Amino acid sequence: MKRRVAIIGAGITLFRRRMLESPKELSFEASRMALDAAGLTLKDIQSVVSGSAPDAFDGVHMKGEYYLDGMGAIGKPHQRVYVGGGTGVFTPIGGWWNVASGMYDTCLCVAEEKMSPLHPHPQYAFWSIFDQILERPLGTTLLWIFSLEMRRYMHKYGIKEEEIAEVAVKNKGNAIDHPCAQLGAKITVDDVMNSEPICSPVKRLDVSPPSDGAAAVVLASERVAKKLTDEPVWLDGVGWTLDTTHWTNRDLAYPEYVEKAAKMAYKMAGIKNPRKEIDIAEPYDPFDYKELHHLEGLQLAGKGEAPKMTVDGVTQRDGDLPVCPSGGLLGVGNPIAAAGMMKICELFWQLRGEAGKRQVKKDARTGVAQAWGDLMQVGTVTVMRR
Amino acid sequence: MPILEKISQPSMARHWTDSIPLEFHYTAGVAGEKFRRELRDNGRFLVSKCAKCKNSYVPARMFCPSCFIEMKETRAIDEPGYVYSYTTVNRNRAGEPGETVTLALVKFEGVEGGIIHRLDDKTIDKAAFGIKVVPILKDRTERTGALSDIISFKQA
Repeated sequence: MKRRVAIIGAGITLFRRRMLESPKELSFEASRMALDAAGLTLKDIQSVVSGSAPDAFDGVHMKGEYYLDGMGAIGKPHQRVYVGGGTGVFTPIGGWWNVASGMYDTCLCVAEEKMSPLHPHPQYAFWSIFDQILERPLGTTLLWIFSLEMRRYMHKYGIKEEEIAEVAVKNKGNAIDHPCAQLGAKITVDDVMNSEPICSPVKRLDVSPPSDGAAAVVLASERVAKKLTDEPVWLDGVGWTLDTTHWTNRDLAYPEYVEKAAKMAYKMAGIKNPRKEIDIAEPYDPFDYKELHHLEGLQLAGKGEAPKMTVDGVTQRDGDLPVCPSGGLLGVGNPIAAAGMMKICELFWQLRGEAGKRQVKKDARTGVAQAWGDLMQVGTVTVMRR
Repeated sequence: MPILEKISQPSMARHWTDSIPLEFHYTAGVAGEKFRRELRDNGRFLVSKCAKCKNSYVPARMFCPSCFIEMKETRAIDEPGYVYSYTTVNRNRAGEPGETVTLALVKFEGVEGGIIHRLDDKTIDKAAFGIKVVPILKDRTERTGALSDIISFKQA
């Protein structure tokens, strides 16, 4: 028998290129903030679910076992979930299993990433995710396939780079109002267009930065949530799917794995027309074109139509469908797993009207968060309601 | 394919070699930074104390793992430690015969946690549970705040 699950507290650290805090300490700071927000102590927490992307970032094998005391997980049932960049949104999904199943009434969900230890660049952690015979000998980086994907997307729908750049302008601008943001900035489309070409058509300002950081939420069963707060945010739909690592087999212009995950989450949440029923969205935006790609996969825009929505201002904070009001990965930063969890935190604060300067204009009641990752093959989606 | 038709000699399977070139620059953390400075500057181990449960921990850490609150109180240990357990290592991590080293887990009265390090040559023969030990440190000018600031532990 499935039970309804609520989020009752959220916490986050600063996102920065290099933090002094250890992975345990980052985890503690986010966890403590989430517990304080929920009005709970560690004794009230029955289980812990953590999320973190490759061990190779922090440089600690068995990272889940290493950082768990920073999540208060000593002596408690603890699970680490992992689907690369999709991990941050997958972490509360793991917590949802714990609570919806009836196993536990409370679950602390923490996502942590410390990318700064890895030299010469965190990109090196991805060296070994590619096929060791067919791709690695070329010196492959993730930027290659993202650039192929961006260009294919532009080609298929006749999208201009300037339209895609609008996403970077919006998100970095939104991040100015996020107290934890690493790269909040007022920039223009020209700034993006004139930024250094890294791997054409991807330019410096099209990309989110590597970061250190952590974020956390507290989940509770309906019975417990109603005792603790008048403003629970319900985790009413969860979905996740993976495609093959044969990324060469995929339609690079459309993220089918996101569509499948979204449809799973929408069905669970009883959403039949996402564009009408979703008020606010936090899709994964490690690159500006990915926000557009994902809006389409999430069924919030028709195929190839997300750029126009962006240019028309629909996705601004005062628009009809605010998208990444947090500032997203492009602005707040991209400590991989923590970045996805940051989106869950943002929807929590937005739906409770606690987002301060970032608060969207419309009366948002239902939101969707999404992350993407592994070898660009996973979609993780949650639907949240107040 | 019947099993006997498969390649059974490893040398017959063509293979590629590659490596995963990773290097790490770790931060010690907020509490770790304080611990390392105390070791470098004063040659002592820094301990954190929880204001709630009153437990102390070495090395110093940011938060109490049981009470899950920040620990702001610290003190340096002046007393000798004691050998909690010890071992003599005869093979290195590649499994080859290497330098023989005697290692001990050194604990301190009333403090949770401990420091693992070498015992010096003179102490090896006397290694026993509970013997009091103190660190042999590099000269202050050579210390960097790393575990290698300690050369070994010797009997107090």
